[in-house]
Amino acid sequence: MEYIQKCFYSSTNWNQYNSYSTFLETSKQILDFPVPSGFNLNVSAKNAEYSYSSVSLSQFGELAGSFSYLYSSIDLAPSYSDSKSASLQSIIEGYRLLSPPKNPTYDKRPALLYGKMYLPSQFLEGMLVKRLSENSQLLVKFINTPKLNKLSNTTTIMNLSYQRQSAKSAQEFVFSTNEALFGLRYIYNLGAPTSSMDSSLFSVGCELWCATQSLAPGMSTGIRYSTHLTSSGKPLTMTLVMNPLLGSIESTYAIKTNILSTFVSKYSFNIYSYESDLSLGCHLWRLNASSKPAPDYNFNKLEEIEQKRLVENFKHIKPSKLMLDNNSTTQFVNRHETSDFKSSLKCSTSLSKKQVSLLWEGKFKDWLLSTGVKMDYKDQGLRNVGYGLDLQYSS
Amino acid sequence: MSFQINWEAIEKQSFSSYTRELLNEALNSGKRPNILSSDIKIMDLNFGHISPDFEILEIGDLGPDRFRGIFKFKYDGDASVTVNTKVSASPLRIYNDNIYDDLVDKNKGYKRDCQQLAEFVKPQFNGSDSDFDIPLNLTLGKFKLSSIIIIVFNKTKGLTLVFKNDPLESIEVSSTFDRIKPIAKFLQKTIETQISELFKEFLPSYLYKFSLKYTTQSLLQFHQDLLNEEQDIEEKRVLLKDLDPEFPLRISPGSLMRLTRLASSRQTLALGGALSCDRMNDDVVTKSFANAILASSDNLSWNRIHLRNSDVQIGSMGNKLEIIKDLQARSFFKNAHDGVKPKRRVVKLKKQRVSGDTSSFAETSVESPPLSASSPPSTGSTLVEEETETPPERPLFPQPNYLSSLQFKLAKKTEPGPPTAFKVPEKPTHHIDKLEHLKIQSRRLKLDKLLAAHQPSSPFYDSPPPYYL
Repeated sequence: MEYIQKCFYSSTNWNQYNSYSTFLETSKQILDFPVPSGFNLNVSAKNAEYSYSSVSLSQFGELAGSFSYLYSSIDLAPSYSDSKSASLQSIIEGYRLLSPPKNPTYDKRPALLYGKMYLPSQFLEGMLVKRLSENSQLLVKFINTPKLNKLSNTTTIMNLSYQRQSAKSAQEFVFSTNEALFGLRYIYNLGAPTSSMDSSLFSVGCELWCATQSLAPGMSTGIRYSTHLTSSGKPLTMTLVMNPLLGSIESTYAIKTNILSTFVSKYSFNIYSYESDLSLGCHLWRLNASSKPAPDYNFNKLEEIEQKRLVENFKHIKPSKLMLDNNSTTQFVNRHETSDFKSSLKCSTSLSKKQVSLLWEGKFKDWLLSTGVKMDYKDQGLRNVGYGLDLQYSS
Repeated sequence: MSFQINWEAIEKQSFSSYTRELLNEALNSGKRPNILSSDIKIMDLNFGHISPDFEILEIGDLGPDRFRGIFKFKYDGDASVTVNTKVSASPLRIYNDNIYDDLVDKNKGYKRDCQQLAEFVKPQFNGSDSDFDIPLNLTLGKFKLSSIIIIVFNKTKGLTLVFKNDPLESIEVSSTFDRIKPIAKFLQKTIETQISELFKEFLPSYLYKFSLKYTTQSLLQFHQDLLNEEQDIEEKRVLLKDLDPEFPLRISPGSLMRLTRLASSRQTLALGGALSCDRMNDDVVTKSFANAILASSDNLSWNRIHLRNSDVQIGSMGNKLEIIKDLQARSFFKNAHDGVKPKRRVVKLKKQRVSGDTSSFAETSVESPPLSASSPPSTGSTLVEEETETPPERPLFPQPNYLSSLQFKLAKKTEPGPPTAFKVPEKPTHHIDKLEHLKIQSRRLKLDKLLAAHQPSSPFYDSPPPYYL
């Protein structure tokens, strides 16, 4: 579901990451990634040009399953690919390479419909994404549980969110029927719009929440700076999020040290209770044995003819062309996008929660495998909290 | 009738720490509510010096294992309890958790689906739902309780306690938030309702569970004690290890087979007993036992069985083994040499009053399995039968195998003659220890009955056999 939603956004030129809701995406993906529990099997297929379906089976104590259907009013073919041909970096969430925000342009008003039925519980979840105008869209999510017997009761929760974005800023208005929650998210990109060569981004954002039924307020503000190292093109992101109501400060620092590894650290501190926590995480990739990354050019190791050719080229170089083509940043991004990855390993730990999580994701034949384990080392000795295996196939 | 409750006694350290443990367990059992972010710890527990008043209104049922009564209960004392916990003050975190809990509450049994639904519908907060825990100390004191309680106790069903009305009259709550009036008021109100709930529902159910645990446990313990006691009485078992400490398993499979057979030959299919061998089942008078008594008596005439006190008083359990050995060796011999299946004797005792008879002995009919005539020495015929069939011309001591077959074996070894040439030992060495004394007495009575019952039928005897103990 998330993958298709991503495809939908990318093919409709909607920048999903130009929003305060995805402000901490990188650190969330590497520090708080979900670990599968039990055994899950998911087979999805593209039925027709505009519709997708998926069947899943899960075994965790009892056998359960679900059917889901997706309908998109536009063809997602350019960005959608099945599990055989899809590259791992397009499926696995990891370090979020932020592209400079642009004004969304799309002349059609596409819609995405999604529904999922859980069995045997007969729970229903659904989603609707509708582009309202060039720079705004509506996202509706709802869940419903039926009344099957005397013990169960129906629950219906609907979330409405209206999103608007431009290169400079993005707003989101949220309403949830659960406890009548109102929310506002706002992000402002300083200095935007920037030229495509400048890859750094400085954003300020905040969110405000109020559940009117229980009078539960909440708010947070944050700043984020994301850039690439000029020498090597390695991207890094720093965020600082404060919650003035509860006095908590969270700072994260994430750096992709090379194509194959990302490291994230998060430090949180509460100024009222002096409680602090340090979380560390890393994300490692493995390349397919057949395709090693192109080695860094080392001038002295080249053949004599090539050296001459390079020198010859160098003489005719135009500085502006160099900025565009030979930019270390774009090189890094391109290399990341074209590498043929085989598997990835995520690992994270937190000092106050005293938990270690491990997640391995990779491809086996045409299947997408992900398996993980969560361990607890609170009172002497490791204790298993959860583990599982996910199998996914799509065509 | 009155009860005496020593209120001072519960002030003891051991009891208070025990109660504290119990309360800790009780408070932290079940699912922790979302608003609490750590376990509840009892910091201080004080029972006070003023004891509660009990007034017996009615006692409905009273027995050694059951009790039912109605009491009036009143308490206005200085007991106090202080608990410590952490309260989560992050409203949006609670909001998130509540979505899931609400779903689970309404749809029990589909936890996993609920979790996925909750994940789907949660608004994604960024930092607004960060942890923020406030430590909370809460002291409850000045309890004022009064209620009518019904206590029903049954040894098997446990203890049931019911409050007729809401027992809580007033309570004083003081906490970290005393200075903040609205919170203090809120706490006071919440705790009052919670405590009355506790008295109404939680306490009875917990007491019930606890009493169940206690009664079943004590029963088990009781059994365990009994078993231990029995084991103490029994002799130490001889293990293979003790025979040959260096090679504990140096025993041939053949011997093992024979041993197993020995062991199994002791067992009968008698009803109403666990493992019934002659020692364990009092109701069975085995031939070997009778033989033992006969052999130990001075003269081996049928109508007189004399046992001296020394026969039963001196000696140890070890000698009883020989009796058992007798039986087993015989059954083994039977099978091995004569090809006759070892059969168990069935002795049916029918107690009937013989009308007109001066002796009030019960008449006894004796059944024996079909005898095989080809094997006179080993065919088992009951003692009694033997006696009734025996013509007076026969020797006083008839040869069949009620002689201990150990002797028979010995005889075979030493002098391979016909088995009829048994030698009766002058002084049998059956010593029975004191513990067995009573059993033997009862058995001998039975034996005598058996003998006596046949007395009138055989003209050979003219008087009931005199016996001495």
